[in-house]
Amino acid sequence: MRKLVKSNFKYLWRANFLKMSIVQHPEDKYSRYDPEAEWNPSSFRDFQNYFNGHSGELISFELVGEDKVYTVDLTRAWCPIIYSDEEGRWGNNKHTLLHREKRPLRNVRIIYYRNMETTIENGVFGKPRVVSYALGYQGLDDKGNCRKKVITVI
Amino acid sequence: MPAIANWYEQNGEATGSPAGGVESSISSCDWKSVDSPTVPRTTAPVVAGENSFIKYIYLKFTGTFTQIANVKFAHTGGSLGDGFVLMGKVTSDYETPTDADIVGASDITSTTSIASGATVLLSTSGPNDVSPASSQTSSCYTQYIATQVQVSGDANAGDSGSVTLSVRYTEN
Repeated sequence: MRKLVKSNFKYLWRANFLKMSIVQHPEDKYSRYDPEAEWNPSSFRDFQNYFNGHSGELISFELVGEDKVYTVDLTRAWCPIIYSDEEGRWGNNKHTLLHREKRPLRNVRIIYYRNMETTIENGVFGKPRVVSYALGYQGLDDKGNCRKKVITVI
Repeated sequence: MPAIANWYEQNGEATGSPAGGVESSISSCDWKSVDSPTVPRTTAPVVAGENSFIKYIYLKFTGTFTQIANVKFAHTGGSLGDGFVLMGKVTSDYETPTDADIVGASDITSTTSIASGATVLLSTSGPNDVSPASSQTSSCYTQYIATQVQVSGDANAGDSGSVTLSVRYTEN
């Protein structure tokens, strides 16, 4: 299990292409981050930019946590698989198949986002917090219908 | 880091087109008997038989994100107490805040899950944009979340209870 550096995020994503991997910056900064700007794209823009020119080269997209990894496996891109790998206490890993696409798909794209929440409690504003992570894929079946699968990781 | 979500409030006379008020950055929000972001509730309490002034608050998303989407708002916890009605609506229309009954709002006194909350749209130009969208890919504002507390004449004396209002959204 290849761990990522420490971050305030419980999970960081990693996109594995044929010739390279793109890893979410620990602070989610874009490669061309401008500290003077009010807004910057996040690391996910780097993934999107590379994917747009190399969509056929994406092998897998992972959510990597301290001792658990969730993977959208696109080794056979027309038939995505979602699974998790957990590091056991004694070094033995547990591999769990979570979903296997039943129909052949084309134009498969990754779905990744964080579910965020901010609250006002007794009139006082709280800071946004990550409620969960969403990971999955979408694609078109042979009839042109959009099929997608998203798992929620807490 | 996740996107920065800062709260703002608009107050005062509705001016311009689309109409807006005077913007203030806020760190807390109370329903009061005046239209002010700073006057404390203890100085301007809402007494039995009256309404609070309508509050127009909204979020501005800045910082680091590629897309913000699927914003929801709901009263998710707590209660103001017997005799208190909490009204709320999501709108792009700013009107000069008054203590008259808020028009077009729903009774959100009872709690609900955030998943069943009201949909809030986003705009890059402001909370009063006439064509907001369900997602944005740069710095953006939510619509106004307009709320009002209506206190019945037989409400118990003393301070109200407390409530939790939640905003849920997705980012990547």
